[in-house]
Amino acid sequence: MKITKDVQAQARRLLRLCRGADGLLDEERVRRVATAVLERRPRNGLALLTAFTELVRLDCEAHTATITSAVPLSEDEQQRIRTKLDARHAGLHYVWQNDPALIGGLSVRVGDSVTDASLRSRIERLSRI
Amino acid sequence: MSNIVQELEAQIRNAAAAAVSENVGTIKAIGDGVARIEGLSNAMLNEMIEFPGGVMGLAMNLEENEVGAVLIGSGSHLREGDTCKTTGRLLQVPVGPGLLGRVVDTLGNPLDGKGPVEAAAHYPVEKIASGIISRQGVNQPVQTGILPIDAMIPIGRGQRELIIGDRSTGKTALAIDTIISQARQNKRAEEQGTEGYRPLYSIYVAIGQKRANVSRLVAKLEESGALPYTIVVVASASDSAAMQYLAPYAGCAMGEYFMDQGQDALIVYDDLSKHAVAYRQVSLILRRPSGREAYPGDVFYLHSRLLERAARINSEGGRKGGSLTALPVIETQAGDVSAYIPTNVISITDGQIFLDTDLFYQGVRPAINVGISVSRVGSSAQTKIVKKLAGSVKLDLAQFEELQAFAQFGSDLDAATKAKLERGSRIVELFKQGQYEPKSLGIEVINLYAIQRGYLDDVPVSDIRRVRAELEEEASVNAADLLAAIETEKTLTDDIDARLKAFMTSFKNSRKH
Ligand SMILES: Nc1ncnc2c1ncn2[C@@H]1O[C@H](COP(=O)(O)OP(=O)(O)OP(=O)(O)O)[C@@H](O)[C@H]1O
Ligand SMILES: [Mg+2]
Repeated sequence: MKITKDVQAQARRLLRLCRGADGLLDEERVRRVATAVLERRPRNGLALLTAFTELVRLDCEAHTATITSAVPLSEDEQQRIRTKLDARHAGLHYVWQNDPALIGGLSVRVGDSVTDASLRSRIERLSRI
Repeated sequence: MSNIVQELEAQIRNAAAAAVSENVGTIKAIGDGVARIEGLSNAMLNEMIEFPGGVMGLAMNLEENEVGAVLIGSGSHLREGDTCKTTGRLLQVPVGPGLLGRVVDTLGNPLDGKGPVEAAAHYPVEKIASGIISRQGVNQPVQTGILPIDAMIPIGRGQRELIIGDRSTGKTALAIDTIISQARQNKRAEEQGTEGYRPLYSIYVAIGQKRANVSRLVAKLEESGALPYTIVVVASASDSAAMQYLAPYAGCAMGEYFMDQGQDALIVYDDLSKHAVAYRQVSLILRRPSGREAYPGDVFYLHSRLLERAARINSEGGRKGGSLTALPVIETQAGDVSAYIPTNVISITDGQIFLDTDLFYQGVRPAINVGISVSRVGSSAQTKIVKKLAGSVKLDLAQFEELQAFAQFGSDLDAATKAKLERGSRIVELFKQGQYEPKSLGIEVINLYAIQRGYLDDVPVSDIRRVRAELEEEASVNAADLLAAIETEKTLTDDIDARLKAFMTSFKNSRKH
């Protein structure tokens, strides 16, 4: 099963169909597209679905905010972070993690941008001078 | 010094900052020195990518959801799933006079075991060539010390002259002799404190050559005292294709430093055929579309942007008037100059020196094929005295070659034709020159004077080289002041003409006894 340029372009078209007016992916539409492809079995259907799934995965990752903190955050703290991030990015989906290795502070990853405000990263940077 | 303080301050500020933002990616596939990375959506073309363990990569392919990066250095510890990040920096190399006398790799790391290199600055490897306004015409000679070149195919500072020929025809030898000649002139001027002398520093970039060859060559440079004026950049056959691809640009950056300081530098790229092959490998691994001979579409730009960086800068508007002369080397297959890479580079450069296998095996060394060798801009930079004496040599030699083919069929030739043949065969003999024996300007002038004014016409052709050796020895021992006068005057004044004549006459007389 080879993902050709045509299939890739087709998958991209399908992905566009799944976006709502705000430009974000609509879960319901994604599901409908997937079912339709499976039911109608077009040529290269499996390759198309694979390419489509990959694009959806990349889109989801770009809209995922992973917040890693040294200690669990309180409801209030989480809400404050949410407000700040939502103001900058639309349609974020949140994942909260704990990692004592950070020592203190937290690190925020949205898509492929990481903002590291942990104590560990500061110590690492100081040790590099 | 103030630079380093600022740099340190910036580093401390950065370290003390509460948070840093980074653009990260994940390795999806890795192999053959290339990593395909997911993420890195902010990566820029040719930006350095940092991998775990401090390994660096160069972002060369920017695609919709993926970045293709070429690893610089060993990435054997990297695995699928490792994270990497952008650095916001371009690839840079150390530059400065501290590199003279050193042997370094593409990144400027020392390979000669003489300790760390002393950098005056760091220059980006890729740089846009200087513009039209900042340039001026070529007007100062590069005295190669190789008589046929200085006489017939003169090279000027800031020129790009291609050395092209089959394998083992003495391409490297020409370049090395030129480097040795520059070093000797620099040293002599230093010792004598010549006023207004502009030293010419050399950079030799070895691309895809065997390490044994390079080390032999470095030893030769050292032995002849040329190494202190030379930087050797090595990306040998066993280095990665990426390192070989980047080596000429790194060497060029080192040369540009001298040019920016208002000094003169000469860079030899040995050779660009192997460079094109290394780039083809990188491109194919990056899955770029390939064209003729499987080279990627931008292989012309690969060499044109490199050779465009050689220039002669003027001294207006705060510029300091330096120059960078480029001597690219191209290896042909069976003398075929119409192959893809040779035609490309011929069209980019300001002339070519074509070395011929047949001539080489006939014993004509350097094996320069005069008929198809040209220098398109160098004659305006040729030293006046050489120009005056060598004016008709190229024509004489071209006519000789034509007549020679013709004379094979008939024995009864008229006197004029015979004279031309006689003169031509003597010029050919005179232009033979051993390796590592570049001549000084004075000696070149003596040679040219002797042949052009007919002093060698009665010497049998088979004796020319012996007589020439005697002549040169006589000149260096007994006419040092005449040689010095030629070096300083650089024109054929009446006085010099008379002294040359007197010298030749006395030499002739001494030989009769
Ligand atoms: N002027 C010369 N007189 C005598 N021998 C020479 C001369 N020039 C070169 N040679 C010899 O010819 C051989 C080939 O020279 P060189 O290595 O410079 O050629 P090349 O074209 O660079 O070869 P390659 O294709 O291997 O790079 C060497 O053994 C060298 O010593
Ligand atoms: Mg060679």
